[in-house]
Amino acid sequence: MNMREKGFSLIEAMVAVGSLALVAYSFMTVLDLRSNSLLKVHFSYILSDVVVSNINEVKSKNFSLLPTPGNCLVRHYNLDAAENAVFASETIVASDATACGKDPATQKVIDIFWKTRSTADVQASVAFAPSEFLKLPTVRNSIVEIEVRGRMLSTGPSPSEQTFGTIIYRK
Amino acid sequence: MVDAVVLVALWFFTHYTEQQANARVSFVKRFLLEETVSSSFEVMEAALRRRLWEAPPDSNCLRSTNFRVDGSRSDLKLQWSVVANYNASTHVYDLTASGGYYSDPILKTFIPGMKVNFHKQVKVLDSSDFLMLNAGTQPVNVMRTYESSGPAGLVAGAKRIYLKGSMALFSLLYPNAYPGNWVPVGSNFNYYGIIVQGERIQVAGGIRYIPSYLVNTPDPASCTTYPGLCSTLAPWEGTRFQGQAANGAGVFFGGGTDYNTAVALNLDIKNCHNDPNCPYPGDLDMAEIKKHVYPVALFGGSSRPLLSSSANDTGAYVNDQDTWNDFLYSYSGNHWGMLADFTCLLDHNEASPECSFSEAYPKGFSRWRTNAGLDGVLFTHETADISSSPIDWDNYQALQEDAVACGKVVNAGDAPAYEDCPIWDTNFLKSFVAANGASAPKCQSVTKVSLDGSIFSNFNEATYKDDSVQDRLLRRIIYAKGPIEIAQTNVQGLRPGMPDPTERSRLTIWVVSEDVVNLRGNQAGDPTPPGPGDYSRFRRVVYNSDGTVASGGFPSMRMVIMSPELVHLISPGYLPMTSAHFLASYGVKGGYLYPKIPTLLDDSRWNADGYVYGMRSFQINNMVTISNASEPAVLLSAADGFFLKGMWSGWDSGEQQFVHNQCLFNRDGQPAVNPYSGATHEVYPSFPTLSDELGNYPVSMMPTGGTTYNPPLTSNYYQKDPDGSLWVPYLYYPYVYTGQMYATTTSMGTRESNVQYTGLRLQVNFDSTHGASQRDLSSSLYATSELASTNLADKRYFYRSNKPYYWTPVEPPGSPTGNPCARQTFYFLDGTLAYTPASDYDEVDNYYHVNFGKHVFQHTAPDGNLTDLGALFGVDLPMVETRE
Repeated sequence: MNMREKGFSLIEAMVAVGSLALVAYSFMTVLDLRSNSLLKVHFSYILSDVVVSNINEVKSKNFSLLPTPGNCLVRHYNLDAAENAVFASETIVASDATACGKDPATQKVIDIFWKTRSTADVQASVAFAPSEFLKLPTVRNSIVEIEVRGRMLSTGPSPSEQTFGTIIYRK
Repeated sequence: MVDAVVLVALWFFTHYTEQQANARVSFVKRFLLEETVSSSFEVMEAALRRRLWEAPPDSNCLRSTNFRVDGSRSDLKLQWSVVANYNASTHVYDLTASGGYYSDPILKTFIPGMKVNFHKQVKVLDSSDFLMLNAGTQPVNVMRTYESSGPAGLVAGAKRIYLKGSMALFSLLYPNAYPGNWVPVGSNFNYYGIIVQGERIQVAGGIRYIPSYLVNTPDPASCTTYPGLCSTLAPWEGTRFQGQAANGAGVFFGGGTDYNTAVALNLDIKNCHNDPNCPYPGDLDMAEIKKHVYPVALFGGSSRPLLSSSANDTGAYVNDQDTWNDFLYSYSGNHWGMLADFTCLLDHNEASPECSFSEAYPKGFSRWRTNAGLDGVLFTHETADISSSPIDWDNYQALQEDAVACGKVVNAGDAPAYEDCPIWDTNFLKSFVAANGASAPKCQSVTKVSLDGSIFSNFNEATYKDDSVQDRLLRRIIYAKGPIEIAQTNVQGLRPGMPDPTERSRLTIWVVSEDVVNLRGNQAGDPTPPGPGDYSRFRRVVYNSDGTVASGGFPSMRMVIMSPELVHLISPGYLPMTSAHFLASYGVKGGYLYPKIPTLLDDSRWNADGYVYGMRSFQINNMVTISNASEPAVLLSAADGFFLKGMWSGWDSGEQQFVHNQCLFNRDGQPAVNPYSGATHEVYPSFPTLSDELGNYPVSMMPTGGTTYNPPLTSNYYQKDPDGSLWVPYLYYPYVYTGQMYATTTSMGTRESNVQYTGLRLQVNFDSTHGASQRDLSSSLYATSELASTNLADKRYFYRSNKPYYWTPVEPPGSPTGNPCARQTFYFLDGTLAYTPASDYDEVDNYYHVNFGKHVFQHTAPDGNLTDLGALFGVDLPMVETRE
């Protein structure tokens, strides 16, 4: 027995089917949104934990062990089966190298970058008053700026790149 | 309908989840913001540390009270700033860091909830907070030589003493009479060779006496004189045990009335020097002082000597000098030796610590410290570290910037200047020898800097009488890029053109130098030369103080000298060594340096100076020196704060110089100067009359073609008797020194000038980082030495150790090699006469003196005026966050 036999006109039937399709589409869309949002929350926790851990390390690490100015420390963390970040590798490249964040992110990999700028660079980027007498120690390079940035691609039907970053001054 | 409800529910859940995500992101971003802003303190602190924590000048060259730094990152939409307020009265920086993510970078509006503030304080330690600070880890030796008439000491008053390393006490003692064998010296003021006083004495590396050496089998004569001596020590001689203390004791005092006791004791010891009747009634109570004596052993035992190898730290200690075991330890046939303490022996072949080392016997040390009333005063390993960054080129550049704006910059070689060849610098001599004397010596150009007149930029004298800005007065910097000399030209004090006492008491002068700073003293207040009947009073040379006997001079200025090099003290009559004079005085032959006019006989430079005034007392007031702790020549001994350049000290008891001086004096073609005959001294008359194999007489070091290089007969070098007769002085040493030595005592005279330093001394680390055109601040440019330590192999002397040379006829007879002077002369004259020292000859490196600057150093705390001199260190206080 078709819809006509049940007393629905063709138009009514088409509206009903269309509505059903719309509801289904909306339902799927909302589900997708919800899924992405959940993943976003999930991954923001994963990423932020790794970024915070790295910032704490930047703030506490012996000055001499930090990347020297002009260099970039690159770390990769993989997600294990339980979606925990597991340290995978670490390397130091030049700050302007592609590997220092200019390459695309990879799914299920968290990338962390520490980019160190020299005292002279910091001096050029800040404004002291009075500038004649307040300057940074550029002979010894004893203060640096380290930009810490983390990124990852979320999984799910619409993966998006999430990033966290800030700068830390160390001396 | 159900679908719609589910849809709406899902939407709400999704929205909620989205909010969750955003909240998490906001939380993390705020955390990141806090991390950035809190770390921005580092930027301001780095800039202040570069300035040695001194607030920057304002347009009137007063300390600014507030200043700031701003930063931003457009890609992060982040702005931050640190505002500093300096409290000049408390020496505290109030720092406020604030920052946020902005919504409008131009209007500087921040995203709500995304702005943070932090507050922090940094306490600044002023350079005047310490009597003595040593930020290096090397031990600081507090030493007194046995020729000294007063104690070596650090009397800090209310100041602090902070040593990151250890303190090593070495008090050589020359008592009134030597004790018998194994008999204590007993209570006598002379026994206290070292006085250390302070309200807070921090010696992070611990305290100990420097051991003396048990160098040889005691002289059999000593065993006869002191029965039992040899048998007492016999068990330990072969294993080379060391006596624990040199001999004299060190005493430690705290604050309050202890300060008065320390000062009184210091004076009494000087007054009691070699006076067997001391202490007199009314002097200090010996029983009161005895508890302050630092123990010679920080453990006990039932028999003597105590042995460090079998020590137990039970809390016992031995600090009663009446029970110490001292005797004259003679180690050669001619009775050379020293008074030594053998209460406790240390086998230095084993790993056992010194008997008196505080860190090895904490219970014994703690018990003594408590009984001496020094709890809360004296600290060793529990000392909190003072974080002091090394002085670096960034600091120097900042100081130079201040000097440009508010002080004075002196470039190397600026006029007026004079030439002075640094013959006291071994590097200089080596360089000259390496060039075989062919190239011009690299002498210094010393710029004369006057503190008078309008030396400082943007200087308004009236400001220094304005009470309202008293806390904001800036240090005024003289920045020197080369060697400089600052003379006290007026007997009443430095900078006589600024006589107002209030102004003088408030002006702080910093002399920041990349090179040597020479301080030329003033003797106009005490100009008469010493002579018979008056030899015992040393003439006063003053610096930064009133040299007149009567009061009424100017108050001392407040003066800080910072240099990686030693500060040189020179006499008002000091004449520099010009390159022409140097070339006339020194030559190079066969790769060796030789003196034609050795420093001792340099009449042209000393005849109106050292030859006339001899040993003097150099008195420096109200000064702070900031020098290099890692440079061994600078600190390491509390007695070596300065380098006295010129002719200051008398002959010492070093055995080699008897021969040495004669070799210097006797020259080919010398005039017929009457030898010193008829004297009862044992040394000179014993010298044989010599001729060498070539028939030269007297033995000459260098044929001079008849040129006379010895002092002319008119020189004050010679002894002139009332009848007009002229004599070669005793030991060929300028006569005034001998007169002074024998006048100061009936037994053992003073042989050194003294430096009486009232001020502060800070030994900090200097950093080695430097640019291509900059020197390395961490190491000295000069190898400062009293002796010419260039490879002077031809200037060595040889003598037989078992037959004192000055008592023994030349042997073998007729052989020039039997006489040390002749032997070396031959070697020098003809390099082909290679020699092989016989096994029974000691080889002694006896280099020529190029400077005579031995001195006793006495360091006392300044008066209350020497405060707030300029910042040096910053101490972080806890950080507080305030939210918006």
